[in-house]
Amino acid sequence: MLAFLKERFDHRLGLIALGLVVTGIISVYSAVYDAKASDIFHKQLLWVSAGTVVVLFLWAMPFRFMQFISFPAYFASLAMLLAVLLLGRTVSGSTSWFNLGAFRLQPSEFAKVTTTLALAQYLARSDVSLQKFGHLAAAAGIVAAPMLLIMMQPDLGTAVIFIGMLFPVLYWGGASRFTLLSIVAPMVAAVAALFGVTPFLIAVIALGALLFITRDHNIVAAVVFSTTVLVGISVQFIYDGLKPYQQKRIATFLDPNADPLGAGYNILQSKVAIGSGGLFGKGYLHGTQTQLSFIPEQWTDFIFCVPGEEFGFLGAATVLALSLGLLTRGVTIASLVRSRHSSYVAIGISGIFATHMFINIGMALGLMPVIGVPLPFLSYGGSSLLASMSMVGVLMNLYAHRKEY
Amino acid sequence: MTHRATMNRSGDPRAALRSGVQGRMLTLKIGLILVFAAIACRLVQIQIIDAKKYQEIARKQSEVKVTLGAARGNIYDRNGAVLVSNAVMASLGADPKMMGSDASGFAARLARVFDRPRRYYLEKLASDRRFVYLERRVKPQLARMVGANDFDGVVQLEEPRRLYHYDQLAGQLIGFTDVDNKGLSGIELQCNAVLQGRDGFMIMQRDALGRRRTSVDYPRTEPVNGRHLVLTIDVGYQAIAEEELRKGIERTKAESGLVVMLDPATGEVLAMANAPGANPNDPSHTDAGLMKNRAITDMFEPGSVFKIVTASAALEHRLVAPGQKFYGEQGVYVVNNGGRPRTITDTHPHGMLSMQEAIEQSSNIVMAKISNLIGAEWLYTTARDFGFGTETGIDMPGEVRGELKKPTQWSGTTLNAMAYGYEVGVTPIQIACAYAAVANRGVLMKPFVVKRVLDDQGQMLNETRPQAIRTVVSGETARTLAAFLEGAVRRGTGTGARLDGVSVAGKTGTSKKVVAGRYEPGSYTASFVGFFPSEEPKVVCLVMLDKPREGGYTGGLASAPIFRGIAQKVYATSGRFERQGRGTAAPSMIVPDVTMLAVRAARAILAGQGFAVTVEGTGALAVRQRPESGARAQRGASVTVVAGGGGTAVLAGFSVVPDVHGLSMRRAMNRLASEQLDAEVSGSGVVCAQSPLPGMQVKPGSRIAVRCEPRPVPVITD
Repeated sequence: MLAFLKERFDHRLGLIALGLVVTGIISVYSAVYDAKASDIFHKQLLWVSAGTVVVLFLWAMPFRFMQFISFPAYFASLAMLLAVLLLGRTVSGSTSWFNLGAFRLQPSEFAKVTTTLALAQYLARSDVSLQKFGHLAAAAGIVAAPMLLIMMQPDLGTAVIFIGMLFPVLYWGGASRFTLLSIVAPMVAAVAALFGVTPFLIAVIALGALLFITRDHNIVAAVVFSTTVLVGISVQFIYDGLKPYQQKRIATFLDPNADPLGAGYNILQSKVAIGSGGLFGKGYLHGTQTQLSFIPEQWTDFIFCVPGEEFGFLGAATVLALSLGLLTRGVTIASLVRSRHSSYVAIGISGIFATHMFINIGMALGLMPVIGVPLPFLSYGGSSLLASMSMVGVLMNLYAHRKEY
Repeated sequence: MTHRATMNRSGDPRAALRSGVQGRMLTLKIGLILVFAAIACRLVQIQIIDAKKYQEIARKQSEVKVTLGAARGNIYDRNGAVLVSNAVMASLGADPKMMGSDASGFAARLARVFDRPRRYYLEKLASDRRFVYLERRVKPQLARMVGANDFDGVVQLEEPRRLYHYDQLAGQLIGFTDVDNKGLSGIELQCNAVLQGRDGFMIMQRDALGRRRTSVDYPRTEPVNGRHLVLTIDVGYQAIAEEELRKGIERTKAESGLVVMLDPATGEVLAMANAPGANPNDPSHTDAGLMKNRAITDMFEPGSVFKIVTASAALEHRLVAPGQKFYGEQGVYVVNNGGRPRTITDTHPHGMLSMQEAIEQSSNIVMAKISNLIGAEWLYTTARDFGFGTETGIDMPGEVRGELKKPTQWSGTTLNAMAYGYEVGVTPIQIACAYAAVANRGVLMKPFVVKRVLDDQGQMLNETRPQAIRTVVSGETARTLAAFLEGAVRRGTGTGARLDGVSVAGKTGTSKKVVAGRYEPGSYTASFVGFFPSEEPKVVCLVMLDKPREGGYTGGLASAPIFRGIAQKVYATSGRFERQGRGTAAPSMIVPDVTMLAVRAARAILAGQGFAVTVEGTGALAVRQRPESGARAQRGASVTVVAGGGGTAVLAGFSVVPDVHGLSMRRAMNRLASEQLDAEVSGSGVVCAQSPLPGMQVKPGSRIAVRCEPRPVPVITD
């Protein structure tokens, strides 16, 4: 019995997840310690308990069940995303939540998981090849549908996560370098365009050269290249069409010091909190910036400041190490499993986690624009935590059945 | 790896796939590690390299230094009556942005409570700033009536304010403080360093919304409270002096006046009154000139009161034989001053006068003749020895030294003029001290106002010892002078100061005032200075009026009656004087001490012990009583309670902590209970310490800690 469990339980993943969950509990407690929001902490504990049940449930599930429910769950998610647009609750400009009594449910968090499952299910089919444009388009379509619905909420951050999931899955599936480049090129051009004309021109020349080198067909390459240029040029128009707060966030990212009391406040305060933590931190519950509410959204988007300030570089590095451990473990599981579906799911989940972590931590350190995505396991939020823990549960299940096809 | 590579080459498709997977896995992991390495580099940059910079920013954002104000010391009179203490006042402010629609309702409430137009507040609340003061330093109960909690964005602050319990009583002597509670004049300025203590501070944390919180992580420097002062001033004397002075000014239509009272034996200033008065509670409505304590800051030509110097010189150097007579020239004496004749006049024509008669009748002519016998050197040294021309050294700010020229600088007229008090500049305190020296057997004492310094627990730190400056004249000369002065009151120019039952010695003075360099006709300084009882002087009193207009401008007519009024009342109310031949009926009861009690309580205590009670004056506090406590009186005898202070100065809704030092435990508890205060007693016997100190204003029902020690038992030896 013990040997059976040992064989099926990924203790590495378990320990890493446990470490992250505990760090999360500690951080949320500190973040709300003096904000007279102890109910937030209690809710978080409740979500951790529920999440633990979900992890065990998914781990113990029959292997085939995961593949069986992939598409039904995917379509259910799409339906929920549609429903939330029509019936959902609007919080700070985004219609992303269902109200369930005292709790709020965010369907987009679960759509990440179900979309990964559906994408994996599709790519795992033996007749699907990423070398074929039609199949590639279908795969992109599976991801694009929920993504578009989420962008309509509008929730840019969560939408970006889907790209972060799709890209490594395509790479894992053996998509050509040209294919991958084609997906990235327009986005790179768009970001470069935001910085100004010169960066945009440099990016366009570099992307053109890369596309030319990796191209299979001249015409396709030309189409991709012109699309890239067009996207870059249209950025200004899109920028003008954005909501003011989104424009502000982008402008702030480009120069956080431009408006230290306004839009740049978050980034500056976050850097001050983390920076003032120094090597060993100020001690648990003694972070002046954390405890004195200098950091807005500190228990959600800026939770990384709590370990950063109160436990210093050691605390922040620990979070980084645990995060890296989770991601490499996900990639390792992807390479261990014999089932193609399992492999894609593991990579997709790792991609989701990675994107969350890069964006969130990068944002807290001023490396990324302020895009509101939670830090998995650490940020307060039931939907986010349940989604993260169910992904761990899925990885557990994949590991347990790694020898099955 | 080699094995797999071999398999790969062998063409096994699954092996090929696995090999691809391995490669991609490696690529992904390396990619992840690189990204995390980049993030870690950023962490190192922020948290280790730039940590100092961010720590500094964080500190500035989150720390705020808060001053812990030291309580300024109280000022007491010589009997422990509180002259000055501190009150906590309330200030109301608001954040206009937070108030929003509440503003009009709040303004209406303020307008009702503080009796100002509503628009006044609405204009302030229309400000763009995040904080405006609406009312400053108002009484806490008024602030409470506003109900600041009913409105958003209203802030109520506590600010200390100096509380002068007797308003303008001794206002110039006590002085006042600025908004930061720093002494600006009087004792408040002189003893500022002693009174103010040292502020402490603490570092508080400030959150993003500016709210402050204490933090145990930071050191806290406790404030050192200021020390209390006990003055030599007697509130009763001061009140009498001011009242009599006020009445005298009213009668004579003088421009201003002043009274200085000294204890001749010690130099203690018993009272120092300036009229018109100045109220330190309301400095903004007091003319800055009125805050001057002219008894020490202003110089004048003394006139006849200076004749004592001339007489002293003559007596001390035995230049005039007793009974030696001088011709009074029938009031007009022309001096041939080197070809420039100069006329000296007397107010009344006199024939032959002895020196005593010359003093009694205040003959300028005779004093001028005597000065010719004395000569410049001796007249100068005698004047100098009396303290003229130098500061008395009184512990008050702004004292001037007057003007006493050296004989080498004298003109041909100086010797004769100085003999009757001209061509010399003196301050009132110098005059009072000179007469005190005569009263004190010829010994000049240094005048002082601060008798004791107490720490904030009421323990004595320092007591001013009376300081003899020099023996000015021999005891014999002093006795002779006193007899001259007694005669002046009995039958000379000072009869206006005569009192039944107590012998008064004194001298009148009337001097022309110099205005813009020349003597102004009709402008006089009228003074009277004397002491009583003349056989054993207890009080020296100087009364000076500036430009009396009605009922006579001379010292005898204008000032002597004021002296008389003061002496009479002081003599009647004070225990300072041993009274002989009175109260021969067997005393049966000891009069209790009811001073510093609420008048109602004083009345109840006295009535309860079978005394008839008379209340004089208005006010909530029994300032003084007569007979004094400890005196024996018959059952049913009348005890007079002098009420004062309190009424306006004590905040409604507060109690003043009474002085219970030296009382028995039960008396102390009764005393406290009469002020609606509870006692927390430790030990037994008589009270040796109490906290809070007397004069503090506390809420009714507060607990006053009282420590008792056993009564000292007399040691009997055989």
